[in-house]
Amino acid sequence: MICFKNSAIVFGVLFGVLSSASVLADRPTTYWVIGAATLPLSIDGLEDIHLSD
Amino acid sequence: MSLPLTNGVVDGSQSGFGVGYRNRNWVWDLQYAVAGESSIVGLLGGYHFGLYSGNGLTFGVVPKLGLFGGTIALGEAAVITGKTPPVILSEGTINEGEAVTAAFSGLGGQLALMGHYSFTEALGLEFQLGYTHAVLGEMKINAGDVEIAKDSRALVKNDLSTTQAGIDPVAKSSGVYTNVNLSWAF
Repeated sequence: MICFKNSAIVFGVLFGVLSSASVLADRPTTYWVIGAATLPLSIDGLEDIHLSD
Repeated sequence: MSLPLTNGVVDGSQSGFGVGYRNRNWVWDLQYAVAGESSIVGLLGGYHFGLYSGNGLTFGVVPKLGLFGGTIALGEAAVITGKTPPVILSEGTINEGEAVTAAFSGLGGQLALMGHYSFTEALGLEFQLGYTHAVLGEMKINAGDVEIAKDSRALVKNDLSTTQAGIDPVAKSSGVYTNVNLSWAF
């Protein structure tokens, strides 16, 4: 509960700071984008195993 | 039956494509990346906090939250020499050659620096450089249509013993991500 409350406070402060610093965007109001992306992925803990009945 | 699960071990950045929609400061992204036999997809929404704007260039910070998921093709179930297929479990029957796959899903977030440059009123270039972190939960392993829990007694070590395999597969998406996009305004 305390952790959630602290997280909420941090998020609220961050939102407030960024909102106050935010400037009007000199860009189109509505637009679509398409392009290249990278994402990290790690999968671990797998072994070659057998299946037995 | 032998299950070649180590085919699914990956670690690193995967390449793919992204599509997105921007409405005022709201940012919606679909990101897909694949490497070898594994793939990951993220569907995220966030808010653009503008930090600079001028001469057609904007720059800001974008926190995003969303859903992540992915699959891994691990190979095929193979018969062990001296054994006779199929393997009949309470979960279902598994035959030789059945595709072995794993799936994962979970919640995640991204914090990105986003820039946009307008070449014309309609056409522009957008980039994102940020950090992504997703908690992808427990991985599900399937042989054909049969889902096998990681603690199933049918999963045994590959030393021909009956010792439960004791695997604990974990999928994570944590680290730097990038997007470079063409933008088109309507």
